[in-house]
Amino acid sequence: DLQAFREYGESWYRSRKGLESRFQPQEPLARQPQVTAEARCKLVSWLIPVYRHFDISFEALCLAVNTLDRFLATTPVAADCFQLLGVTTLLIACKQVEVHPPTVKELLALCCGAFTREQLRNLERVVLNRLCFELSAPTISFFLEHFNQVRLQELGADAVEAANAR
Amino acid sequence: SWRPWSYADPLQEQDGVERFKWQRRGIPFGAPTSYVHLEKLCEGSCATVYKGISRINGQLVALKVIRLEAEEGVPFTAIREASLLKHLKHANIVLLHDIIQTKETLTFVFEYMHTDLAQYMGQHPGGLHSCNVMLFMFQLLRGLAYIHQQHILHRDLNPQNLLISCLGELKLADFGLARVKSIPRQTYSSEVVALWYRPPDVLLGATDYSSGLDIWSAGCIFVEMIQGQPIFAGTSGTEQLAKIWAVLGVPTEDTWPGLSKLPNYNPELVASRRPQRLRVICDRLSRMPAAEDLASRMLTAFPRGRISAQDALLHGFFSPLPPQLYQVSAGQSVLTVPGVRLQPEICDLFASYRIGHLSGGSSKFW
Repeated sequence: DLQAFREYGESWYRSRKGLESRFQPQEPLARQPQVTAEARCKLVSWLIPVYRHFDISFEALCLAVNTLDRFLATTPVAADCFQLLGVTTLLIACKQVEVHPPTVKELLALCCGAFTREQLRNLERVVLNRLCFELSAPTISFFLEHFNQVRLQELGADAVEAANAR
Repeated sequence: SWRPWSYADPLQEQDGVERFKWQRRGIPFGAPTSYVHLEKLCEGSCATVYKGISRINGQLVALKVIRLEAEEGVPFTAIREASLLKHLKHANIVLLHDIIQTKETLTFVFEYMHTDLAQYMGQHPGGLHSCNVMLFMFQLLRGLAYIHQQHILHRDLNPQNLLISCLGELKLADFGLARVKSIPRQTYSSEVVALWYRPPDVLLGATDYSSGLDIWSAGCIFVEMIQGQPIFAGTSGTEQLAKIWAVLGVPTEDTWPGLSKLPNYNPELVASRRPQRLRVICDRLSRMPAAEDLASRMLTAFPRGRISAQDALLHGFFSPLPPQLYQVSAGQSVLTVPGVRLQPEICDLFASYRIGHLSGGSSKFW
């Protein structure tokens, strides 16, 4: 939507860019006794097919990973709860931006019944509390789209139409 | 949605503040014991709102207590409201002071506001004083321009969600349906905004709406303040659209590019009706200079044709207001400008005790 982008694109970018440092995770794994970089990589690699499975937005996935990392920077997490943290942050992200977030039941089923509804709900409260409801992070998804729009705008209106047609 | 109580006895409020003054020092934010619950103001499906007093600073507060026993955990409305309001600091946006979490509940502590626009209009039937319409509308648009600049859509503007202090300050509240816009705009839910304030594009099933959504709702509220009655009061989506088309005329692909692609578009409706001037159904619009022009720029069927909040603030309708209003900083109320104040409504002139209350000494609570 080139017109909206021309009107608001630059100010959107500046406002999101201005918030970026506030939402930058500070060494998420530095104080984690059990969660390793490898475990985090595995979790994120698992969250990617999960987000595709539910057909939720890339924006929600980015928000989930940001929430996950910022929570890790505040609180030590046991290795056996790490997957639960992954689905909990995904649930929080979906509640922010999705019209139809996956249900708690669906998310728990993906963890093969390793966790209970009560555990997920408790962890959700802990995450929200630790992050003081600071959740609306500027995401990679936003910046990628922005730069793509800038590129299209430079190429001209024809390129935009071609891109939209695709 | 919730409404703070109106017209509580100011003397009682004073007593309450005095009683808790001595405890102020060393009381933390975020603790349930930092706030004293007073009376219940209203009860919703998942939240109850109480009037309260902060032991931290003696201020009156509204405590929105959200129960957490829901199957799906913390309600999405609570997550959105808190995460968005944390970044919104503006004199025309309700202030979220504090968040308290316990095992069973989540409490949002808001500044206490005297009443809301729905109650205010209910107490002053037949349309509001033209100066007050100007004052409220300016503040509504000022709040909207601020959130739209932050790329946030309110998506639930209606008179109940516009809180009003006894001085006449107006603040946007209830951000439970609000969300940040994204590029490209993702599809949004079309189940937003109370029916009477829902724009035709959303009624037709559009899910790619933008800031024009809030502008339409604000336009409806504008006319309602002047006329004393909602402009389009349908009982179903179909009836709502019919009421809108009866005034604006049935749009065509020429007046609204993309119209025929909307999910609920009905090709059988031919553009038989000619658009009418808004004053035909709202006679009081003609009594206020430029009001009809501003209203029709906000109530434009084609969503992109609607005026922006920023441009609406510069509309000639507001020219009687002092120019200093445009210099007031974001955090400061427009009521700090000399000469800008709430005027007594006609029916208040017959009820002198209310005038005493409105201009009385209770301003320090805000």
